[in-house]
Amino acid sequence: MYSRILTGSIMGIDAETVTVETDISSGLPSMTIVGLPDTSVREAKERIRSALRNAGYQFPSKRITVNLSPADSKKEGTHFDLPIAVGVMVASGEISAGEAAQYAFFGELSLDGKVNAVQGAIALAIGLRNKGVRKLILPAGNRHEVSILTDMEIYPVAHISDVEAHLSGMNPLMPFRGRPRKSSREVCESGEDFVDVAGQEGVKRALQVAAAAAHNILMVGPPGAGKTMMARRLPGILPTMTYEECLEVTRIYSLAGQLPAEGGLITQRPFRAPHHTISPTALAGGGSKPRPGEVPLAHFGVLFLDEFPEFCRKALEVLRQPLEDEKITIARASATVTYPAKIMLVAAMNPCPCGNLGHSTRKCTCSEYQVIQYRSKISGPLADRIDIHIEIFPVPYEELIDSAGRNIKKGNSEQMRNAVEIARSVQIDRYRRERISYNSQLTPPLIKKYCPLDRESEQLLKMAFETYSLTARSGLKIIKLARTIADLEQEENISAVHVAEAISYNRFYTANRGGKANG
Amino acid sequence: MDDRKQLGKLGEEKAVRYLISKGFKILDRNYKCKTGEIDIIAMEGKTLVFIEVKTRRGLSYGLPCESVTSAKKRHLLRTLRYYVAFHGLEEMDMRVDVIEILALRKGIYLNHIKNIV
Amino acid sequence: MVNKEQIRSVTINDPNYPELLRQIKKPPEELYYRGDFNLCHTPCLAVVGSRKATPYGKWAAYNISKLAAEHGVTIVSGMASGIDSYAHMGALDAEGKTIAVLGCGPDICYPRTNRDLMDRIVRFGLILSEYPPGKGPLAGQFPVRNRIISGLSYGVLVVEAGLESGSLITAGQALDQGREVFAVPGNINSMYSAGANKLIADGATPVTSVDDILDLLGIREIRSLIKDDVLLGEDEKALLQFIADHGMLTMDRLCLLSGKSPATVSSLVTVLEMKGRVQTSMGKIYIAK
Repeated sequence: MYSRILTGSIMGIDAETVTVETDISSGLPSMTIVGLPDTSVREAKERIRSALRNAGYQFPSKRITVNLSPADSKKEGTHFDLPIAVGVMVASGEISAGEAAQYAFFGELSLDGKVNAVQGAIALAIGLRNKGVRKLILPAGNRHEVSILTDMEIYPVAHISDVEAHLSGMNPLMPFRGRPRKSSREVCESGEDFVDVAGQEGVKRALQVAAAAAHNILMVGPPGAGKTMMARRLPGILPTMTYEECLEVTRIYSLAGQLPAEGGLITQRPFRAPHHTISPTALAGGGSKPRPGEVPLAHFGVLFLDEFPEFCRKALEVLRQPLEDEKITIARASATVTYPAKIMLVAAMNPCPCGNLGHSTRKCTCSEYQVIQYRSKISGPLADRIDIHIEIFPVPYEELIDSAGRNIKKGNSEQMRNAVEIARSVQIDRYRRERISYNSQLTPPLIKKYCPLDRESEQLLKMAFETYSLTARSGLKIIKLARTIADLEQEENISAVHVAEAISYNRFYTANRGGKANG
Repeated sequence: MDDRKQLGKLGEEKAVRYLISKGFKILDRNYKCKTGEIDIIAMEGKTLVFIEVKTRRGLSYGLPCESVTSAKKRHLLRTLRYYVAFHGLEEMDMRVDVIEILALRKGIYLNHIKNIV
Repeated sequence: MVNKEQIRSVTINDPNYPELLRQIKKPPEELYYRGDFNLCHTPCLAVVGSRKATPYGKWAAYNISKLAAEHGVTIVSGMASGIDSYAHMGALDAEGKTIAVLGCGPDICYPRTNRDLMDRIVRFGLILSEYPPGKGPLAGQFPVRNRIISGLSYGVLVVEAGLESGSLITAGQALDQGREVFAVPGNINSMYSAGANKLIADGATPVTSVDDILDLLGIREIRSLIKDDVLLGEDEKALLQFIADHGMLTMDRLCLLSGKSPATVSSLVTVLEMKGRVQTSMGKIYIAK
């Protein structure tokens, strides 16, 4: 009269295993669910009662107690329907306990006994997989999404009677195998390539450096300079995601309900470009049932914020935690949830509020004060987290003609990505004893340890300090960048050339800060 | 007044006869305590059954069983718990049934609804 | 006393004869000179104006000449009083180069008040004349020598000139010779600037800063060629040369011209910028001012 069934519960991005304990005893017929169920779980008993009856099973008129263990964490979601129903069937002897114990279950029930798909299935499945579960009975509607977990046996069921038929051996199901997933190469070819960008070699190089160690980058340039076009192509030169990374991204998208209907593993690095009117909550995530926002959705990918100074201050504040800790915590009344957020921030802004400052033909109508105001909006800790500051300007028409006429070498995304991948593997190898993986994560003591400068480089840096009146922080940024550039060039030691290039990615910001050059 | 009481009485008699014909063992009728009243208490096999009987003359006020509201159910349960505790019957299977009786001119109709809680 | 031995001459058939001057109508057959004749081969800007100058005119002549000279431009003028003198002084004070083209023999100082100035020009610049030593200052000779002033130069800047000024003749000759004509705008109610303003109205380029002249003449690069480049590596020099040749380049263009990778170019440009040789602004790379 007692049964244990395995299922899971979503906690933030992760899932915990939950044991559904069912006890059927004498007494006034009733069904009680304990273990901090929320309304959606408590309503399960109505669905289960009807579903079992309508599927032709006996719903025991006994005293039924269901405990969701561990009982001290809150449970929510309709996916508990199926495990609870199976628990009742096992406890009442309709299904043999031994068979059911091999599987984990989740799914929502209809009143007629159909098993409906649930949201966040892949997140749940990955969580269970990480806890060692290998056999899963789940709604048929979720089978494609979950079939990406190649190391799990999944048994999709459409109706509660399928479960009984499978477990009793009357009509056993075959484990479902999804279609083979697309190779990353295919995905890349469908995307946008840097080869389509005419000119802008300097900007491309800067983006490659940024990609090589996930440095955050700020692009300043008038409208039409190609900021968005460049940013969109950035994910294409980032290293291909590992299987585990793909899973993590997929589960976040699953939690946000943003997986395409046909499911499948997300193998392409995310590119999120929220509009500048976005609220802090939409950026971070939230809701009474917390859902990941734009920042966690950009995990392992690119968060592109166009019109950077136009974002409201609170929204920009939200970015600080992910940029520092690579995760984002949102506190709601019901729970505190932490999402991973290893993002590469690509910010873009106009040189001035009207956007025409520095444009060759259009006139800037902003006052100097307005320009200073505009630029100072990104001051402070946020700007310090952005290692690369570059200017981007429209390519003059003559140069487009020229580049079309003559066959200049244009970096295509694949070549760029290959270099980036090599540079990244060098870094991972170098930092295998540290808690970091990339140069962008270097702390001052680690900089000292891993980024020794020769005399020439030191002199150059000193010169930069004098010429551009750099702050100590920008000095560190330059050294980090020089390290990345050296890695990109596959050189073991940082030399003056690398430092000089690194300086060029910081000079604009410090030199021109607030200043209005020739309008 | 008298008429309604008589009608209730008639309904209960009808219900008891029906239950006996179904093999129920009648334990108690019109059980009263300070929390309320239970019309019939019976055993069906090993299950203790508490029965509320509702009798109506016509359908102008809806089906008889519709008058068993949640407030009425709460009263029933309270009385039930008192009875169970008083007699030490906690370990038994039990349930609450409603028998509705429609006494029309052309005849008397009976409907047994099991396990209403 | 002037030492005759200091005076030399070149004829029009001499390969050392200034090429620009050779191209004008009626080039002088022979040039007598004192000082460094090689200055004739440097980029020259003529600065002329009336002898009666206002403080504004003097200021403009002095400062524009000085700034231009700092960029390696040789200032050519007529060593007359007023604007001419201030132009020479500006160039000399900038430790730049200047050429005085005289309307009399190269040994004669006219006006006499300019004796000190003439000594300085002999020492640091060049005195030039088509008239042999000993030839005195005659009224008709001055307008004639103006063709040499403009002939030597890429362009002529008229600082202050009345409507009857000889400077307008120089400007007219400059146009005939295909030289650029610049004028410093003045107050519209000022008779001293009436000529200059008329030139502007007729299509001369108004000058509001020395950059206007340098840009138009493409003289920007001169400085880098003249300054010593010992601090610069070969790559830096090469890059600087490209920028100097074009006056201004975008990053892409520079990559294309030099055949170097964007990474190399951006690091070299940064070094050049820190060394004060180039400037980057709004995506373009300039020779530093």
